[in-house]
Amino acid sequence: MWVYQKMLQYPAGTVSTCNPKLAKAIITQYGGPDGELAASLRYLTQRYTMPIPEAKAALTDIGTEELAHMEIVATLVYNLVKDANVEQIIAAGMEGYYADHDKALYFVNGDGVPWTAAYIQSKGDPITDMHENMAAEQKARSTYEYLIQIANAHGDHAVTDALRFLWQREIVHFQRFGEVLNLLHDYYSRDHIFEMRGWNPYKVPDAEK
Amino acid sequence: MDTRYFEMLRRIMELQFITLELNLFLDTHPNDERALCDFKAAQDALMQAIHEFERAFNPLFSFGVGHVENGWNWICDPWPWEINWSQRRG
Ligand SMILES: [Fe+2]
Repeated sequence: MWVYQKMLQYPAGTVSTCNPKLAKAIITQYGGPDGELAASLRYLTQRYTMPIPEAKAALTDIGTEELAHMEIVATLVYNLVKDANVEQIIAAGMEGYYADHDKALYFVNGDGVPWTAAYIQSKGDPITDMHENMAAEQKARSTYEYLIQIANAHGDHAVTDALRFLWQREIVHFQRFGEVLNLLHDYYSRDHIFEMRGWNPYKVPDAEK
Repeated sequence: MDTRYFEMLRRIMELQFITLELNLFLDTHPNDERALCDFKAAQDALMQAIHEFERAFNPLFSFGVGHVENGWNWICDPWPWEINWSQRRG
């Protein structure tokens, strides 16, 4: 179950409301390979097969925060193209997108490649999944660094500010997933794992019946 | 739109950033007493700020979690993507 909260996680904005060229770059964090949709769905789908409560909680909460980041990215893109005319759309090389979607939000990368579930993995091995997630956070961090360079080149300090917020969240998530990885190693180094149906220290005994 | 609307919303964002960050920390450090204490203090302030906002304007949460007081104004503009915070700061 989820409940919508009617506000952004961060007071994001854009200086220009007709800069489709910048929007075209930023949209990759909406529907690109290392974007927020991929991040959110990856964590929310991995959580079902996690063996320890810390991992289930971290994946649920970080997966939920990524949805809030998706909304921030969408808000930036929406506001950057809001007042653009067709000439500006064409000048930005965004006419292919415009032909398919007008100014509506759609899950694509900067070159218009649509989102695919092949961007993410859910492997069933918690150690493998946590390595995937730590790598995903680093890839997202790198992408935000490139986008910050681009926003700076456009001189849109408000977009840069919002991207910097999103950038630092990737670092925090990487840290939390690293801690989950350590907790998983602790869990698997205990005796009971050698017996597949053995006692699980995190489960209330009654729940087994 | 009332400038208080934006000021109060910003305050809620600040407080919720603290509770969100401590929430994630506590997920991997569930026995950290100091973090839990900080979380509770921030949560009290956040709940108070949300309560004041919802009484003055509109619910912040759907499905009955938010406080409905001034008619069904859940549907009222602006929605989050319609507020350009850069333009608001001037
Ligand atoms: Fe992240």
